[in-house]
Amino acid sequence: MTIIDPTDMQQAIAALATPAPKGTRSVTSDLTIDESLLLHGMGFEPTDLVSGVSVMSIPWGTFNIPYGQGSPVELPYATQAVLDGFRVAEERIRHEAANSGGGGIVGVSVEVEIERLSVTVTMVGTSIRQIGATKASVGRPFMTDLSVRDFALLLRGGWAPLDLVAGASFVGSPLRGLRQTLAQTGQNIELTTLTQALQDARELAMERMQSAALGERAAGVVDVKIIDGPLGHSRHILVFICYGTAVHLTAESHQRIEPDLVLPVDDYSGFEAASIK
Amino acid sequence: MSDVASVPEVFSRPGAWSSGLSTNDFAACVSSGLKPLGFVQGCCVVSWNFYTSNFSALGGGFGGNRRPTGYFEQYNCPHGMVSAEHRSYGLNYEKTWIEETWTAALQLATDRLLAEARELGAHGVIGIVERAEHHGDTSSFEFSLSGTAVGVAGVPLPAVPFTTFLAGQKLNKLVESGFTPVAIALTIAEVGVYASCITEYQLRGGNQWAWGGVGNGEVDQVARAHTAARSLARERIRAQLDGDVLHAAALVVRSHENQEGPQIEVVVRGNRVRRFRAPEETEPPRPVVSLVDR
Repeated sequence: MTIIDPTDMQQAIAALATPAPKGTRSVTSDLTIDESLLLHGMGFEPTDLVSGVSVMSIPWGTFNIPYGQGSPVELPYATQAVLDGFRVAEERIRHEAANSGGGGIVGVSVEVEIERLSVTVTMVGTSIRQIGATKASVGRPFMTDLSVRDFALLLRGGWAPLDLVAGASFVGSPLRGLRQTLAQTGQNIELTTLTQALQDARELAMERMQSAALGERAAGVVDVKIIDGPLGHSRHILVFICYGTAVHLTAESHQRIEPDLVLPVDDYSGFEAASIK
Repeated sequence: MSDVASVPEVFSRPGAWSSGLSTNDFAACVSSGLKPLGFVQGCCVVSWNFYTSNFSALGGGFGGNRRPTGYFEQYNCPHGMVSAEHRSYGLNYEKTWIEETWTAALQLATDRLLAEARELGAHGVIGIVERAEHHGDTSSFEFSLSGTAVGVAGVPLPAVPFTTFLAGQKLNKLVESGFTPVAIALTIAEVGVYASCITEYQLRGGNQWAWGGVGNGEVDQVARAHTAARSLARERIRAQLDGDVLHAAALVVRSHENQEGPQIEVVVRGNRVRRFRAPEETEPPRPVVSLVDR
């Protein structure tokens, strides 16, 4: 438990009588106090809460059953809508970060909402910069969905995030023929067309994410998150969306992390007040 | 470190005091010199109408429809068609009457909370829980704030008691890192979309071969409405800060669709804090492995 000296609290409350110096730029962030302290310990400071949104249309009929196709087929318009959604939302959030003098964005939360005729991609995060950096001294902001804790660990290991990279694919599974449907009725067997559709969607999406990472000259992608499965409104369409943080090595080689072992002696109750962040 | 005995006032008030703090938060606050004085609340129930402003800045009366006065963008039909089934224009507009109602209700609830805190001679209110919800299916909307009024021995009362969502260890960490809580900060931006013909067509899945190629592409009007709603909310909350810092902000977006198009609501909330001493040199984090299964 963090206990502070009551004189610290007195000093803090007495300071309410003194407003912030005139002309001070207000800083906003969605970081918790633990994250703020950790960030400061790493030599960074937040500049602003930033966001980017993109809404892409999907043409009517995209999710219709692909009759007459013997094997799974990719749906290019839906796939492109998601990829464009990521690209445009990233451009917008990065633009906001650059405007606030940020050199990077951490803890980006990504939401992908797939409707029958549109896709919405939303990103919210906190832009940060090295303490003392000026707007002119920071380059193109990096971007990561890693938490501040993971970001700190990554830097400690000699790596740095470059960008959020994404891949997507929508693959339609053809309907079974009458003879096949009758032959399979009542049997517990593999539905090969659906398996193949999911496999195709996964391979295509992962390849796209990897090629996006190569485009950033990244060595790899960490903390890949996946959104997959059949679409709620079109169960014969399998979607696979993946995104993660492209990273590169900034040190000569990976820095070995040797953590200290600690044995907590308190009983962990898992308490977390819902009202407190 | 201090103990409860060093804050004797805690137990010297006549009668029992109340608090909304958990046992952990209570122990952390008392040990750090915050004296719980009472559980305080403030609420306001308002009439909530999406399309009319018969509720004008809580003044009551019947104002009728109001022209949008905030963010506004018009999208004209490029086709030159005149038809009942073809919209000749589209709008993105800020629903200022909703924002005003929301803001006025929050202000009243806050004033009432602070009035209770002042009556108790409090320096501030900690561990605030905010609730904003409709009364079932009715148009009544309730804004409630509750928290624990606290006092600090040996410090003059501030002009306005401070308020914060934090309590316990997290509040202590905030102070330890050189920040003092100033106030809870909340704001709203409400933007409505009256879809233009192009937007309506895109949202209905218009394909890329028709209407000059408006198919698989960005729905510009809706994307701009989303961006504007977020920008308005963030600008507004920054305007409340006056050089202070907004800490642990949450940006909550709710969007629903009606016959006009998407309707977007963005609420930003967080703790307004002020640096009262320069940051101390923080050591780089030390990685540890905890020998406990969790």
